[in-house]
Amino acid sequence: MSRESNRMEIIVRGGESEDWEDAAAIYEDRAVIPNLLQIPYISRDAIRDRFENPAPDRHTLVAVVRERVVGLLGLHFGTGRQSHVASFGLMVHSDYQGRGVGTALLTAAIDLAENWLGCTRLELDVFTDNEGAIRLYERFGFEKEGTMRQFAMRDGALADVYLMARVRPSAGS
Amino acid sequence: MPLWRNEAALLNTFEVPHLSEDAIRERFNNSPANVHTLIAEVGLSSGRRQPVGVAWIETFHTRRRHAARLRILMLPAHRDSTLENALLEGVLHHVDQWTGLSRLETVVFVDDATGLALFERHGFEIEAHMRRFVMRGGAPADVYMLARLRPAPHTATPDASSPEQEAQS
Repeated sequence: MSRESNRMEIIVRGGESEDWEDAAAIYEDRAVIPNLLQIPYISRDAIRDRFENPAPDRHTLVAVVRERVVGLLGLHFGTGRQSHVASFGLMVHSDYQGRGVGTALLTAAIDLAENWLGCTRLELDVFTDNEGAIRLYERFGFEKEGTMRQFAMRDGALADVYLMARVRPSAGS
Repeated sequence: MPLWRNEAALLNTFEVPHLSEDAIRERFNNSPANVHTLIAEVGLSSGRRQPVGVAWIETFHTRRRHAARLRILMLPAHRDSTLENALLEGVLHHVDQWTGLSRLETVVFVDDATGLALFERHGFEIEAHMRRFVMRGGAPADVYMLARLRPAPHTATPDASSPEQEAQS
C-alpha cells in the first residue's frame, strides 16, 4: 500500500465523553494491547468512566478519521518537584496503524505539553521490539535513556522497555 | 517527624519541604494498601526512640504487579551508616522473603555517590540516565533509574556437579 492511497483526513481534538465507545474498540484491540500496559477483559464501564470522569492531571487527545475515533493519546503531568515532566501513552487501532495517526497525535501532544503547559521533559516507555513506535518517537527527537529489564508482563513473559525522553533546556526555549 | 523539617534530607529525594503535619500524619496513618513502610530509628538518651529514616515499598499494578518502587528518606547524619544499610537490608529481606516481587526499582541522583554505592552494594544496577527528571536547588537534576531483579533462590542448580549429572557420568 502506498502512502498516497492511504491518505486520509485526520482531525486531532480533545477527548469527549461520547468518544468512549470508539475508544473501547481500541482498548479491546488484541493487536494493540501487547504494546501498551493495558489488559484484556477490561470492563467497558471502566473505559467509559475514564472518559466521563477524566483525572484532572490528565489530558486526552483523540484522532478522528471519518467521524470515528481511531487513536488516543493520554498526557499525564507530574506533581511537586516533577511538575515540568509529562509522560504519555499512545494507541492507534490496528486497522489504522502506519497511516499518520500516531504522527498527528504526537504533533498535537508536543504542542500542548511544551507550548501551552510548559513541559520541559516529555517521556515514555516503549517495548524494546516495538520498532515502528521507536522510529516514530525518534523522528520527534525522543532519545533512548536506558533499558528497564523485565518491566512488564506481555502475553506470558516479562518484557523489557526503553525509557525515552524529549528534553528542552527550559520552558519557552 | 524531623525528616521533613530538614531541607538537606529532602535534597536527594522527591519529597517537598513545608509539608503540613496533617499531610505527614496522613502518609503514615492512611497509607495505601500497595505501600509498605519501614522505619529506621535510633535510641535517645531519654530512653525514647527517634525515627531517622523511612523506606517506602510501593507495588505497581496489573501488568507491573511483579514490580515495586523503593524510596528512602534518611536524615543526613545517618546517611552512609550501618543504620541506613540495615534499613535497605530490611527492605530486601521483606521483598525477597515475604513477597513475590521480582523487580525492585529506585532512582538516585547522578551526583549522589553515597546513594549509588549503597544500592549497587545490594545488587541494584543502573538501567537509565534520566535527564532533567526532578527539581533540586532551583534546577532540574538528572537521576539514574536503578533496578534489582530477584536473586535466584538458594537451590542446587543443574550444573555439572549436580547429583543427576554425576549419576549419568
